[in-house]
Amino acid sequence: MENENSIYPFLNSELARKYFANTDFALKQGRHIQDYGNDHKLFVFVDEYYDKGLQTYYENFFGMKLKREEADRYRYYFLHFPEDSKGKFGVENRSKELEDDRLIFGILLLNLYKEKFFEKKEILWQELEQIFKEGEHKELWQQLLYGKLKPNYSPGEEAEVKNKIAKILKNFEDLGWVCFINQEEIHFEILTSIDRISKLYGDIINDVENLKAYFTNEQLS
Amino acid sequence: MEQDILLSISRTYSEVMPPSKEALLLIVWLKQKIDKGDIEEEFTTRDFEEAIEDIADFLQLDKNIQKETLSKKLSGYFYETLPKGKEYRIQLTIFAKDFCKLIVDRIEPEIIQHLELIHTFKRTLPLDEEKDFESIATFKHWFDNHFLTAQKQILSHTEILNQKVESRINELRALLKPNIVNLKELINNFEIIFDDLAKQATGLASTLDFKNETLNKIKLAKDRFSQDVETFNQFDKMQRDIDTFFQNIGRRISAINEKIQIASKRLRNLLDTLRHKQQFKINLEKFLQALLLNAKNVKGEILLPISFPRKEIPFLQSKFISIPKIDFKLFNLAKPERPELNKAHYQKQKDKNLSMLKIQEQTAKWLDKIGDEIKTGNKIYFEEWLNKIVETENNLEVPIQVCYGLIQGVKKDKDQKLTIEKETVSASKNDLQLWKMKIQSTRS
Repeated sequence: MENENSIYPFLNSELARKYFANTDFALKQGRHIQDYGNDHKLFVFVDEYYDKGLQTYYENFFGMKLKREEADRYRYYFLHFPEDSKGKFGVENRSKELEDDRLIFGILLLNLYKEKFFEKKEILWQELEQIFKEGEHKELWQQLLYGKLKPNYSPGEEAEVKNKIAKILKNFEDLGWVCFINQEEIHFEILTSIDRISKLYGDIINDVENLKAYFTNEQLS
Repeated sequence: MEQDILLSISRTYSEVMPPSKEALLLIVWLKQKIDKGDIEEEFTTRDFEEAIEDIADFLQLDKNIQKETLSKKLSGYFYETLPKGKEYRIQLTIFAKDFCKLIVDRIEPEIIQHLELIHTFKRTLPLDEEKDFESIATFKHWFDNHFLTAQKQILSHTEILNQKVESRINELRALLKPNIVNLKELINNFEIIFDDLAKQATGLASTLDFKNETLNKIKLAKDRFSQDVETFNQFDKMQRDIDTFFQNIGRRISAINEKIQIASKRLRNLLDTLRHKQQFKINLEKFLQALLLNAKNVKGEILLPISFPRKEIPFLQSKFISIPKIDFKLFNLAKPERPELNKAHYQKQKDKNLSMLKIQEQTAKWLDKIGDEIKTGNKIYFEEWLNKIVETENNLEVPIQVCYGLIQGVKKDKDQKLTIEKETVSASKNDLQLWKMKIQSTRS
């Protein structure tokens, strides 16, 4: 035990006693931990012990990378698969694909995050509505969200779309990418860790000139 | 009753608002000319027509403005015609003058823009402790004539400041667009603008101090107005109104301050990474557009082509999945298909089973019979019984089963003895051969 603790000094800490369990659960559930809201204490713990055994712990016992990334000078942490493997997360029900609708909304939010470089990253439902109804790609958005293009949509159709987006945002909140200020009114803040999606899809984003290559097959998933 | 006002406005809407850009400019232009002394307060029809021509020139309109039509539309709410001696003069209404002031203050608040908010506070909210707190009447005078007037100005100042900050931030967004010439110079210019805004932010802090100071003075004066309930209630109501207003202003000032701080900080860090940020933003927009173009809504589900590479993230689900509650009333009852009956096969199987059953029944009967014989002390010579059984049953299955049953019975019953002599006995029928077999009871 003494020997183990010298490799994983975080195990001896008071912070670990208090926060390791919750941090561990959060990371394994795909959450991105940053210095924000309720995750502040978990962030302090990970930030302090990242180089003091915590990173090695996940590598040795789970074959996973505990990654530290930085966006706009703010750090965030998450678990990531090593190259060519999925570590102990390779078995069924321990990983999931980022669904297509999540990806599209993730990229939209990342774009808004970058656009709001000089201000707070708060988004109101009205702002999203404006993008879908009056934005540059309004037809594409409407086709995608409502399934058809119409001058006006019924309250039922509007509610269905709003619910769909609320569900996606709730999913993003679980991942630590956004934080609801008022969930009912869809008022939320985009958090620094939305940057992860740019890391996840960095190869394609930096290869936009060859985008066509990724959409060769018209058959849908 | 509340709808009455809506009804009135909807009826007079086209008259109470200037009907066109030309009309609005004309009213503002007339007001400016009066303020400068270029025309009299009660101006002539000629002045009015010249003002219309000025506006047409300003707007570089090819065709003339229809003077009569315009004049008719404005005559109700914006000006009135008065007889003066033998001629008629025109005068702007109070409504028209207030309307102009509102527009000008909102669009071009030059004076306010160059003043810090603290100046508005100090100018509009002076509180003389000796005089203003002398009695409830003097305090009410201060409240009505200083505070209520100042309220509008202070609110207006914060609104304008907020708008100014917002518009500067919007301009900053342009920096993230590509192909900007003299980028460094542009950023430097913005830095100057935001330094100025930062100064205003510092001014905001002193405004907050001044506001708190005024509020504290009022709170401390409470004892002076406690002589009777009526006076105290009057004072208390005014104090609460002031408090609520200051709280509102406090929140506004903090929000503006925060916006200025975030933008200034970002601006300082921008130059190093700007090129990369611009390129990344362009790529991101192209990527989003490609996703939107290639995704489809299939029965409410958003899907991308199968060729698009999906990325995975660790996801250890720790929640129990709730089993969906299915209302079977919503489902059609599917009746199972009845198998086709092969009658010949069915009859054959039935006969076979009946035959087996009969053999078992007869075997049991013969075993009982032989068992009774043994109990009475008789010796059983099986070759004799075999012939009997074969003759009665007319098959070999029953005697064979009986033989097997007898041997099993001897094994279980210690009071029975089986003797087999390896001497072949030929049965009379069926070409059957067997050894001599005797069973007897050993009980004395």
